[in-house]
Amino acid sequence: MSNLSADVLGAWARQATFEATSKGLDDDTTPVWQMDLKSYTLGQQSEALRRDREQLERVAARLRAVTTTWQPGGAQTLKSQHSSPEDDLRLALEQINGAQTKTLFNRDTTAQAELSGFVADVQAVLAPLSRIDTGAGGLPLASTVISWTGDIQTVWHAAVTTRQIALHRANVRIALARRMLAVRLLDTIATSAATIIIRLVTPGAQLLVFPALWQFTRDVLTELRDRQSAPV
Amino acid sequence: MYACKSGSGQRRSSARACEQRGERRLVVILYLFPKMTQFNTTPDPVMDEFRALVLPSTQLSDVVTHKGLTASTLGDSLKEFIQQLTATLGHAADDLSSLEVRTFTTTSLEGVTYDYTLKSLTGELKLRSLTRIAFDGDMQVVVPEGELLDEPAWEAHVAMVHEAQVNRAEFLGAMAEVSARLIQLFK
Repeated sequence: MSNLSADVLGAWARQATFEATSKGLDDDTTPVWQMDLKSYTLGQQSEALRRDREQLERVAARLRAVTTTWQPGGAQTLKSQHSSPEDDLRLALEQINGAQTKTLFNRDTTAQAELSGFVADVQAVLAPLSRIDTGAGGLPLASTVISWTGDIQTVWHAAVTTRQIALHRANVRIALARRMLAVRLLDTIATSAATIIIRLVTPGAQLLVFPALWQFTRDVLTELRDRQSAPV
Repeated sequence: MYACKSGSGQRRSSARACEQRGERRLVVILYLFPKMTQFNTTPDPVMDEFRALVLPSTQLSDVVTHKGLTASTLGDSLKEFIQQLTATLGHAADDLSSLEVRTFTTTSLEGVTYDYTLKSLTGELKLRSLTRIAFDGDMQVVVPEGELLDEPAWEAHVAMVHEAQVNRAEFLGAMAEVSARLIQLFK
């Protein structure tokens, strides 16, 4: 998984590592979200989800601002050290639409490989059946299986307490929200591609822009996170 | 390439020049909506190689063969994703008449498995409650006969019914939207 893919998808994984339930629901196509929770860990997960949602909304807004206003034939200056993600994206779009392919190729091959990986990760997480496990201190509390149509089956440990029920419920909510976040990110990129391609004359442009849009997403998230962690 | 008419009949070579003059612009677009099957094999080897990494490999057989590139492309990943998405949406559409939530308890989660034929959890577990919500909102709730459903079990069940309702509404809508957008890009 690329870093961005892992950041967005969180604890979704293909292989079960939770010892107590590793013999159950034994199908290697079932994506599994496992969390061993204490209350404070749940708080951290919720806060991380809130932050990631907010940051991806900002990415989407900045992407909209570029893709709805960009027109071919703008400035074609080379990337400078202090260019913004918006400048880099506009340059990439000019290069896709024009003849400066060598620079584009060098810049976007990593992005296209990462994006391919992200698409594959999202595809894996959107399997017909998903499983969400919650444990506390190594002891399994509950396991929920959810289908595409939203049918839910949950098996709880017979001695589960009200507080533990709340933990698993919150874990299910976070896991499903993480899955939705990944889908929204892919949708944002696809929407942006659809907006921009009508102005491009290059054959295959609708896919050629994808790596550039992914790179923009990464650049903006890096910028937002650097700002967040900068000393006051 | 742009061409526009001015009063003197002079041609302009850029859209910006035409706009500045406020002249009527006749825009000639070489490829209005590029078709995946007709990409232009320009004499740009770098662009060819970039395309080979991105566009679906089925459209690039010549380039891939010539360049010896065999790895799956971004286009391949997206096509496969769209195929899975549309197939699963199709199956889901057959199963939207009701939403079902089942709550089980067990003394050991190790003994629990999922039967893909029965589409149910099985093993050393006890079904404590079942709720089925029809498309029109009618709800049926089943609890075991002859025994009291303790409060934690009922609370657990109600919690999952709520999560199921919220998730279905959001999830299926989002899947349909992203599927439609991706399919449109490949048209």
